[in-house]
Amino acid sequence: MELGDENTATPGSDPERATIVALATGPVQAALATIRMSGPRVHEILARVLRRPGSALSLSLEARRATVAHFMDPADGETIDEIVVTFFPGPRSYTGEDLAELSLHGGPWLVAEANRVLTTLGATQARPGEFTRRALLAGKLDLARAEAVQALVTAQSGAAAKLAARHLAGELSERYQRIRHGLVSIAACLEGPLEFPEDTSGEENESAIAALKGLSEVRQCLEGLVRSQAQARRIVSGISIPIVGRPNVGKSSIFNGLLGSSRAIVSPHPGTTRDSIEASMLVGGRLVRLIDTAGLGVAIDDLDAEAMSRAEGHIEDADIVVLVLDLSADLQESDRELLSRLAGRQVVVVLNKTDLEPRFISTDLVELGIAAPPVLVSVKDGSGLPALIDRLTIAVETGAPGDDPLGVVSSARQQGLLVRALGDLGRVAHNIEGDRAELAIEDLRLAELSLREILGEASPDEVLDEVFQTFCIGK
Amino acid sequence: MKQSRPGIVVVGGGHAGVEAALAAARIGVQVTLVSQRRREIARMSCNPSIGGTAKGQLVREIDALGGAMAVTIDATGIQFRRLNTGKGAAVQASRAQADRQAYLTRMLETIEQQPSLRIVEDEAIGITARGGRVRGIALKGGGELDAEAVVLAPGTFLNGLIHIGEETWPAGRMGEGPSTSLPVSLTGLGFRTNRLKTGTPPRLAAHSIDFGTLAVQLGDADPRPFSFSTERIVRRQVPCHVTRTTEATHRILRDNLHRSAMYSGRISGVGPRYCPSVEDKVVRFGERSSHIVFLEPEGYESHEIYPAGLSTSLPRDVQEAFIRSIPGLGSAELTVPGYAVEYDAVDSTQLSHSLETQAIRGLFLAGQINGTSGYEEAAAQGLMAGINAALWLLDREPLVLSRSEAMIGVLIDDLVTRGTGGEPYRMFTSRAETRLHLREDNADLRLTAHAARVGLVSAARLAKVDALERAVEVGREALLSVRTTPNAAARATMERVGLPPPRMPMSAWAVLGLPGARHSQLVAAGLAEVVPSRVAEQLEILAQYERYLVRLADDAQERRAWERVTLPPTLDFHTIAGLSIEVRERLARVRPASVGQAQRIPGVTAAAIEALMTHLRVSRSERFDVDGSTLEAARGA
Ligand SMILES: Cc1cc2nc3c(=O)[nH]c(=O)nc-3n(C[C@H](O)[C@H](O)[C@H](O)COP(=O)(O)OP(=O)(O)OC[C@H]3O[C@@H](n4cnc5c(N)ncnc54)[C@H](O)[C@@H]3O)c2cc1C
Ligand SMILES: Nc1nc2c(ncn2[C@@H]2O[C@H](COP(=O)(O)OP(=O)(O)OP(=O)(O)O)[C@@H](O)[C@H]2O)c(=O)[nH]1
Ligand SMILES: [Mg+2]
Repeated sequence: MELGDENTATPGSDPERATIVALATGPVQAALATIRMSGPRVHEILARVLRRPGSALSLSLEARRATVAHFMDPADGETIDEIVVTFFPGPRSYTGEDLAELSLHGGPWLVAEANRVLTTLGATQARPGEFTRRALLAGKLDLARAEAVQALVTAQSGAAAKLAARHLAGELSERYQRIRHGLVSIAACLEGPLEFPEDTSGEENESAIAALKGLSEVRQCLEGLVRSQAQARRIVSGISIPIVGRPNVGKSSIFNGLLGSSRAIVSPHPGTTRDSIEASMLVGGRLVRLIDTAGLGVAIDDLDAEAMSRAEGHIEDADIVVLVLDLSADLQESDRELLSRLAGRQVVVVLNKTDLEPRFISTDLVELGIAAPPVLVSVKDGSGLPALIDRLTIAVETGAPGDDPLGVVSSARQQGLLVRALGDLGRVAHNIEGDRAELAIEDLRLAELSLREILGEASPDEVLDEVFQTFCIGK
Repeated sequence: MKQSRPGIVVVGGGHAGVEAALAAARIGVQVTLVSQRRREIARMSCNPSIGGTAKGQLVREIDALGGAMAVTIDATGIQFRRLNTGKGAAVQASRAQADRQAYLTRMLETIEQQPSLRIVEDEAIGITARGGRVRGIALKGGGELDAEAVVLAPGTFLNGLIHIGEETWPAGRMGEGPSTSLPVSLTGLGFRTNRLKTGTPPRLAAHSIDFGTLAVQLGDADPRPFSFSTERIVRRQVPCHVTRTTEATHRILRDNLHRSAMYSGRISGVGPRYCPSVEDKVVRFGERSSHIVFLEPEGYESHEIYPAGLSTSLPRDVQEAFIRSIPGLGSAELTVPGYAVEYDAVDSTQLSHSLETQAIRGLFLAGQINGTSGYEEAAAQGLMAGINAALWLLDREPLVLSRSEAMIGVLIDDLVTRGTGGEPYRMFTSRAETRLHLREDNADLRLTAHAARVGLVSAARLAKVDALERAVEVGREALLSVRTTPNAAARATMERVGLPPPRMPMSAWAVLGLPGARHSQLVAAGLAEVVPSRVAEQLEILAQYERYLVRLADDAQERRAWERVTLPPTLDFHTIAGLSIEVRERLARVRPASVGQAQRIPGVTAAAIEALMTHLRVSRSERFDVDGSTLEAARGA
């Protein structure tokens, strides 16, 4: 995390600023828990709570080196835990201030106790994201990276954490910089002839062609990033998998069976599930959002209709659909309808209630256009659920066509700005071809502003710098 | 004005100084213009032309504000040409070749005829300041001149040093001595300076050039004046000629690079990248086999030709050799050699937006001394410094033009906020966020009201401009109310007048917004009334640019909100938490007056602004005169 900016002032030396503390690892029980503390009083507080193991002596901390220490409550001198502490003096720390990381044995009581001691000594509980905010203010991160940190902290699956880590490493920032620089070069191509009409006469066409070429490259790159939105959502918020089918086919039973808990109400009455129920689980290391939905069929009342339209909404947004058919009942017209609506999507078909007398056979499904073999399940017997999980794992790993693992934009803010930039670029070609370079440049400038906003950067006179390099001008 | 008050002293009769002196005197204060030589007042040191891209806009703005440059060039120009006429209105610009001698004679007359303005032919050798206030200047000829305000505009003369090849000598420009005492005085007062350089081509004897073989470049058939008050250009126009450098030229230049003042390392000043010498061009754009050269006459009477494109600091014999390798110049004679000049400039971030120095009240700086280059840039600053010095004497608020209302606003804000970055600063339209609005055609509409308020433009002239503005508004509304329907008759009419046939119902205003549509076509199609040409022109431009102008106006409003979040002059930037030392130093150096200005300082990031805002919020109640609603409005905007 050290971005090595030796030039940064030590905000740690600013007495007005609060010293903040927070649990850095998640609130779940883990083997180790890390507490982070940042601010002007870090050193002072550490001196009061840390002792050399097996002695009452205070301990000297070497910068950026992990040291074993006893953590004690200065009120009664009791040792709370044996911990590992690392001290990062500002400005060469994540926040630019004095910062310490304390690794405790992860029991919830220990962590709470340590936290209590630190706050009694004057540290304040950090607000969400405050460490990152301080890092941002100290110029340690750009905005896109700061967002990656937030994403990393809240990541719920291995894939989401990996994505956030890549963003933090600056891969996405680099892409943004490339796009931004692309925009600047295009603008410079067009600007030269405007500012120096006499020096560049005869070069205009050449410049316009170069600009159009650069434009199409930049747009492609931007479009890719905007398209990645669905992919990002899948990684960060989870892959959405609704379980759909006619009423009473056993959707809620399967939902519960997959989760291994009785989240949804199961009853022999059709139309039991009304509001959809969501639950997260990991499938093949990836975060999945499983959704139990209301049965689809003929609506009898308004409530039915509303419940069904919600279920249909989930189908719209689905990444993978689990379609449940009841093997003990005849196939119906509504099954056909549903199937035709799912055409072109990733569908896993489940034939439930295999413990009962079957009313149709698998080959009847081929007629309905279902190619992949269905998964045979009996929730009652508990058979077939592991096979269903296997099928879901394969579906999840296959992913969606066109996924680009490197260029995934997960922040809604960044997405919004990218879409705006694309909108501004939409008119550029038209303006270049219509001999309105000044308007094309204006569009480019607006698009570039959006990119700058993503990165949280100001830019100097880059267009002019480029113009001087590209065009030969002078008296 | 009481006669007993000492008034304003303007040092330097260059393009900045003359505008400053005239503006202040016209506002009604006593002005003394001190310049080394009366006969050199308003001399163009380099190319004999006024205007060009971005500079044309400046000249139009100077005129709208009551300055003298536009009227003077209108009266003394010998070739007028509009640039970029095939392109949009925002990047079109006027340029005129001047009769160099006629221009300065005319300007001198204007000054001599101006009441409350006198010329003292002398050299200022020091600034007298006491208690943080300027008191006057010391003269080389002996004695002091008392002054309540001083405008310094000494151009390229501060420690000026001329280079030609291996030769070097102190001079302000060719034939005039440098100012060596004034810089000592400035440093003594604590001002930071830096070293810049610029150059000029040799002049050629007209009779030695074989024009017959060269391409001719004529001026516009119907030249458009710079000034609102010039009815039309009546003077005879002369042609320029065009030639090009050859491979032979480039070979001579390359072979002699080591003898150039620039390349031998004798010059420490930084030159402008947009104005490279010919030897520079050959080095930096080595793949080109030829560069264009414009041969510009210096006047009707003058026997000298200015070869634009051939600026050089090579020794005289090399200059002669490479010039003679250019078609048409085979036996050209040099009347004056080309040269480079190095000079001191003051770091302009030490100024506030009125062009007054932050350190010494009543001391204003204008022109090349602020690190700019160009007559128009100098004149614009001189005008504003003169206006503000006079307003200061009269206890009135300074006139500060915003970035979104004037190129001059952009120029001055860049100087004050960003500085020139160690390179001579020239105006470019792309420096303005709102260049689509800061056009030549609407300079009067944008700025005449300011000039009338400070007393530089008559009420009658303002009334004319107001009438134009109203006529445009009326014309726009009329066009908005007329609608076309896409039926056969309408399609036929549109085709007849050369407009694209409508595919859906649209207003006449929208039709005028189609690329290339002219108001006269709408008149022919019966969609609009005949209006005066200036009104039609405004309507066409506004209709074409509308969607962009609306967005720019929104952005400008947002920026203005930030501009209103002022920073107290006493703010100690070193105490703001969360800023890098570098950012703190930049802020402390520029001393921005508002958060808006701080945002524009290079290297001040969004995160730094966030820290500044946090600091403001924290200490607002006890230490800052920022009211909460402005702050929140700025954030929400
Ligand atoms: C060699 C050369 C090449 C240039 N090339 C270009 C170019 O290509 N393009 C361009 O746009 N601009 C060019 N310029 C710059 C242009 O000439 C200036 O930007 C412009 O003239 C600056 O105006 P000014 O009023 O600041 O100063 P100047 O026009 O330089 O006038 C300064 C005046 O102040 C007087 N003065 C100086 N010191 C004192 C003193 N101590 N006391 C009394 N009077 C004093 C001088 O006598 C002079 O009259 C060039 C200048 C030079 C010298
Ligand atoms: N025999 C048998 N019964 C099952 C099986 N799975 C579910 N059922 C029963 O079928 C009935 C409906 O099950 P639910 O899971 O509530 O069905 P649903 O599709 O969610 O129904 P709605 O929410 O009403 O649309 C219940 O009585 C379940 O016990 C199975 O594999 N075998
Ligand atoms: Mg159910």
